[in-house]
Amino acid sequence: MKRIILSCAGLLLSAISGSAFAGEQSITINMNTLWIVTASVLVFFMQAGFALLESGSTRAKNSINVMMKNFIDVCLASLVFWAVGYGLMFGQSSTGWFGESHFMMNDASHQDYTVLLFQSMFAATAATIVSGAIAERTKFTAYIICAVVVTAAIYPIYGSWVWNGEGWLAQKGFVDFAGSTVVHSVGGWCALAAAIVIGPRLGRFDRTTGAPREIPGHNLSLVALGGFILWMGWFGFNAGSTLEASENLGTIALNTHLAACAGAVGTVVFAILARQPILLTSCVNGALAGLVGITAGCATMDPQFAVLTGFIGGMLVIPSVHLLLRLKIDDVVGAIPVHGIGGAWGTLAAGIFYQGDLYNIDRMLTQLVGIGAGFAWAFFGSLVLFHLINLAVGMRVDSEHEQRGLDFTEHHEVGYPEFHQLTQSYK
Amino acid sequence: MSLKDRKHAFLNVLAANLDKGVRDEVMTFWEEKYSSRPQFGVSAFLDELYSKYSIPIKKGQLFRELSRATMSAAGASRPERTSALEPDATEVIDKNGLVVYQALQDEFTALAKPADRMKITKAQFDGIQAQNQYDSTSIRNVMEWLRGGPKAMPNRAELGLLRKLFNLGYVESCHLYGPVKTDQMLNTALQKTNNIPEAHITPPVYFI
Repeated sequence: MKRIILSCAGLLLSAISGSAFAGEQSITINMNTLWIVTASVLVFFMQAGFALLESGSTRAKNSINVMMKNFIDVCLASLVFWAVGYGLMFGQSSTGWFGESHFMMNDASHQDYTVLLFQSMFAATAATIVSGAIAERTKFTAYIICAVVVTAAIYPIYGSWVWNGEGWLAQKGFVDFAGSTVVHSVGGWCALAAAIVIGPRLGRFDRTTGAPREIPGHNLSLVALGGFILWMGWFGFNAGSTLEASENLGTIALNTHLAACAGAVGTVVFAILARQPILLTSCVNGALAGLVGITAGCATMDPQFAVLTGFIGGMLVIPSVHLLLRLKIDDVVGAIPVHGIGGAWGTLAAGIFYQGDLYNIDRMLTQLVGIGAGFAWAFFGSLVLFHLINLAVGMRVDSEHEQRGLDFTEHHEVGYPEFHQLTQSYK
Repeated sequence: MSLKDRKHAFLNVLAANLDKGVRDEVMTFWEEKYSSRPQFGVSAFLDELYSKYSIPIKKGQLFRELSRATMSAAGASRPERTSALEPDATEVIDKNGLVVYQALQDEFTALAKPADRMKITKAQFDGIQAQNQYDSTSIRNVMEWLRGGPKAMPNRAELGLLRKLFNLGYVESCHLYGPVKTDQMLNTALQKTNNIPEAHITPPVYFI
């Protein structure tokens, strides 16, 4: 009898602990889902930051055009990424070069859909980086095609090399936790290719001396506000990349924040040392370069190295801008220095300052291979594709449109009707 | 602007200014000779009208009233968004409009350094010759105008061609001074040109 009672008690206890375990598992899944969806919302809000920053950096007559591009590219990028990009990036890969399944995902688990949502926001971020660099002179329709090309091919194929477990860079041990290279450098190099294909804005460089001429943005307050919103969204971008509500979220968020602060300070220090004016636009771009820089190593670095990574990222902004101007490349918002150069530096830094394995030469070499592969694929790939788009539909608006402003000629709307010459007499 | 709209606009003006007998004759003359043209230049019509008929009112007065009527009718007949924002580029600009264009051009180039004015005009001269979407007569007339100044002003010109001509000067100015200063020059030129009487009929923004 005693034995029967004991065995019954044993069975009861194991049933209780089993259901407790199942309940715990369910709570964990729910918490993870909640965190990823929250992070997705934060990353989505970065689009507002990009839109404000880019719009404020352009002249009043082009402000709506830039807003419109930012608005539409998040819509297109999400649709295209769902249809094609996600499959290429995260589908089963037999070669290690691209995925071959999960296109138009429609029959998957709740967790898969949650990850798709989060990754869609990343794809939209990669696409939108291009719009700022080529603002004020690009046809809206041509830009739409470019955004589709970036999210359907350039971004997901490189992404599959790094974030698909079977990707060839992933197999080599390449570290890019949240996408310094996968998202930002790829976007930056696409922006570089687009800026080369389209050419500088009318009168940006002196025809005889080649000296650059300033074309100030119409509202620097919007630039600062855009910078703050991006900064906030970055907490979701980096900490959300854990894809779970884990205990290291706080460390990742702290590293993210410190790197942004150090990036802004780095730019200010450089400006002081170089005896240059301390510009608001440079300072905002410095913080963004710090954020881009820490994205690769935010989960694998100690805070002191996060500060160093951000600081150096910020220091690189001003010389990178000058280099582009010497090459007569017109990047309206500084997307190439911030995302291209900042991303490359951050990815290298993730190898140099890897927690518990500092200054490992092999790891650094692997990082350099990944950075080089990213540049080669994104820059040359998009250069060829953008050239083809240019031949097919023409990417640049004609000079009459540049004169009148793209708000008016591309959308028949103007951002500031009180000040717009063309709306005053026709109405 | 449809023929019906134009006819209606003309009739309204003529009814207010001419006797019925003359008015019917004038309308018939207009319908036979001018209504089939895709775009209508008021001054050309009036030149011929006054040489053929004895019209009791002054030519200038009739010109102003007809211009206003056809412009407002044109605005009313276009789709809403387009009419609110810009005129049709294929519209033909008459002498009044050309006076406004000349004033805009002069005000714009006057803001350039004396040494650069010739560069702007030369860029327009060279650039307009390379245009192939406009008929050669229009281009020749405009080139003679550029060479000869106001005295060689043609009777009419296509709006698209004039816009291109102005844009060529704008582009050259951007190369010389940069886009920011050029936009400031353009705004100043527009403000000054808006003050001339002819600008009430043809606003200078038509040409930019």
